[in-house]
Amino acid sequence: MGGTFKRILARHTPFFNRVMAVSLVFAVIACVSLGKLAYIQLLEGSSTAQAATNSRTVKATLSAQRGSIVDVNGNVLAQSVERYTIIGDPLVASTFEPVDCGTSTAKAYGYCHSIDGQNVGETGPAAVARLLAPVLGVSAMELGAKLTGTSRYVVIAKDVEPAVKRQIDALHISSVISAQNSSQRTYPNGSLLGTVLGGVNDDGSGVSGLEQMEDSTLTGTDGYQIYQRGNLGQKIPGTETQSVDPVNGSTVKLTVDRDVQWYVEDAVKQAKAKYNAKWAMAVVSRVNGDILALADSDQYEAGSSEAKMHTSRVGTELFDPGSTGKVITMAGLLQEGLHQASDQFSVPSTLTEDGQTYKDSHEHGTSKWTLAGILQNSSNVGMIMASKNYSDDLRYQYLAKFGVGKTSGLGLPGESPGALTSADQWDRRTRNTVLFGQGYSVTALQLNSIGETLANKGVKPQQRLIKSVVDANGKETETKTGNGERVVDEKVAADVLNAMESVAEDYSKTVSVPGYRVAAKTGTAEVAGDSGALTSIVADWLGVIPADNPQFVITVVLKDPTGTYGGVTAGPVFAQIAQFLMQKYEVAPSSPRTDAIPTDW
Amino acid sequence: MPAALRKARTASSSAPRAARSAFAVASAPNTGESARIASSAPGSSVARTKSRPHAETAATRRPELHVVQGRGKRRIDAEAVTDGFQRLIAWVVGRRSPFLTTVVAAVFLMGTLLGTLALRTQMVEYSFEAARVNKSIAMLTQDSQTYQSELDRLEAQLPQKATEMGMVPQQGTLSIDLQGYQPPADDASAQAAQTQNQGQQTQSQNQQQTTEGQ
Repeated sequence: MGGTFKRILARHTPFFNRVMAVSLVFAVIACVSLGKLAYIQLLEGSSTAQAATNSRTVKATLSAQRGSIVDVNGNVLAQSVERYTIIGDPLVASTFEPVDCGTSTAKAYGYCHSIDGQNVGETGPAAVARLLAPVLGVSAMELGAKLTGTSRYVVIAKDVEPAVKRQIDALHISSVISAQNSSQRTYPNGSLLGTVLGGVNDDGSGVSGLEQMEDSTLTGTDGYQIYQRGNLGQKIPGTETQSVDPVNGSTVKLTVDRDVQWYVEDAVKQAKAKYNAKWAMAVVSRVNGDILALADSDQYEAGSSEAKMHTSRVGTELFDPGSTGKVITMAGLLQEGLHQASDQFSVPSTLTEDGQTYKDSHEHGTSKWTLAGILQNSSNVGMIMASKNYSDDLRYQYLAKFGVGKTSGLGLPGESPGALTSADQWDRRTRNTVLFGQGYSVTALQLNSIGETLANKGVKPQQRLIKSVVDANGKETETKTGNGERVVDEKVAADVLNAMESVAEDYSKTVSVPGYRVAAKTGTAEVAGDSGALTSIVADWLGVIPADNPQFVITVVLKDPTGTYGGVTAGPVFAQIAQFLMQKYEVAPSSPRTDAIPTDW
Repeated sequence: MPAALRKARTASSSAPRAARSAFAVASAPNTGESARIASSAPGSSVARTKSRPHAETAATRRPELHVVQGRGKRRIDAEAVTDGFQRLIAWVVGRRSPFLTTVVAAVFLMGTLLGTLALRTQMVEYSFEAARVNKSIAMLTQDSQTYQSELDRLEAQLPQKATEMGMVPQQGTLSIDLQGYQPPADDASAQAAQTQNQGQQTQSQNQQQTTEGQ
């Protein structure tokens, strides 16, 4: 082996051999380099390129906007608006050097930092704070403290408006300060429908009221976008691959009219002040169950933590309806055929039955009243007399049919179904007191529903708060409520309304809506006071207007008003609201009454 | 006939520099004549051995023949285009200097590369433009949202501000009983109006008060 080698070497000059040796060394190095190059480029080429692309590919979430809540005319009640969260990077802030105006670096970069025309004069977090603080309106020292440290992410400000964010962009400190999209829920109408609208939490999901009730409808679906980003986070155009558009949440349209709601809230507020009541509330609806206004005297700004902690009284405050419950009894008696509205009774002022004594609210001698007259004079004794053959089961049945003991079906969070014990649990007094509205409790919504049933020709309509849902594409879907269920015949409902009109005529000196006939029933109930004993009064008024062609049903409830009786306290509030409605909706005036059922004989 | 033509072509390409006195007449670029002359093609191979290689003159240079496919009607369609292209390629390939082929190929390649570059550049320019426009749209949307929410807020304050100014909401209604009043019409339509309004005896109309307060 060595011999052949020596022979090859001997064949050439030494110079040649040296040249060859050096070339051989270089050739080996070149081959190795070529081999490594081929390895990197050919074998690992595609995977390295893929890794590089992956390192700059990012999947960004495109957030969907939460749907808005609007009233029946499209006025916005709740809306999400775009805001920014300002984020700082303390680690980069520590090495921040402001560019002074007029220097060559300023010319090279195209921007410079200055405060009021002068150089910043500091470096690091203090400089950033001095530049940023006037724009955000916070103290520069606090801001500087937040930006000191070695973390990479600190929240500087939340819910910053786009105009302010653009000012921050103009400061040219984007290496330190960045902005993330967020959204904020605004309620342009302040405390209107405060507790009914409720509010959202920090994540943007509803936690009370309508925001919670319709959360799934209002929340949209986020999309995403996959693209490649540069070193400073900017999107490289032309590199978008997959993307899914976000689907914004749907808009919820209520049956509530903002103007009516404002007026009713104002009226209720005035009533609470005028009668020194503990609280006051009112429900206004159309005869088909669409709710135009639900107001109580609590005033909480929508979206505030108080609004989120409280619910609207109209669905949660329970009270005995008092004499207003007599309309249910009368309807039941007429429907069962036990009496006609014109049947004649001689009604004393007190009655003792089964060892229990019942009294009318006002002393009177033995009066000759028809059934309609018993309702007009709100006689407890008369009701008991008329219900001699009215069994407990039937009494319970009609109470249940008119909606007592069941929720209104609106689905409001925290809504109470009221309290109605079953007939076999009634004692000897309760079975008679339910005839005049004591012994069970209802909410204002349920009370209004009784009026709606009578005004709707005996068919109990499903109350509706959500009129329709408009999705992100603009397609409107109305909430269907069905035809309602028949509770009493049309003739029975008409007779009860007739008797109720006689009740309203009694109060026509204090409660009247000029030009229109009103059918109403008042109630004054004793309810548990603070001590637990029956020391408090709830005064209510249930009214249907106009009586000849019912359009609206209004319920007004006051607690502990001075003046006590529903007719003199809740009644005028009803008149005020009714008058407003009649002129707003341009309802035709009523023709004179001709078919009054006689109330005495 | 086509076979004779083909033969003539091969003969011409295999002996480009042969000066044939027999073909001096054929310098006219008439294919018909060439065809007649081509029919005596076997004779040319005999003449070839006698001819001298560099005696070619402008007059005796053969016209270059190429096959022309017979086309009955003029058709402008894909087939015609590819047809023309093939003829171009055949002409290029059939040229004497292979250098031209290389030049054309090189130019074609450069053209496609430059075209790709231009398209790509344009694409990226457009995507930058698109990103700029999208950013502008987002900004305008934000602005319109800001103005809209400001408008909503002001509208919501309207009843409160009106009450503070001393305005009161409209109260009460006024109704007018027309009691069968007919508006005066000319004779032509008076008859029709009369018969139409016979059923309606009373009309009432709501009239709202002005906001001068009550």
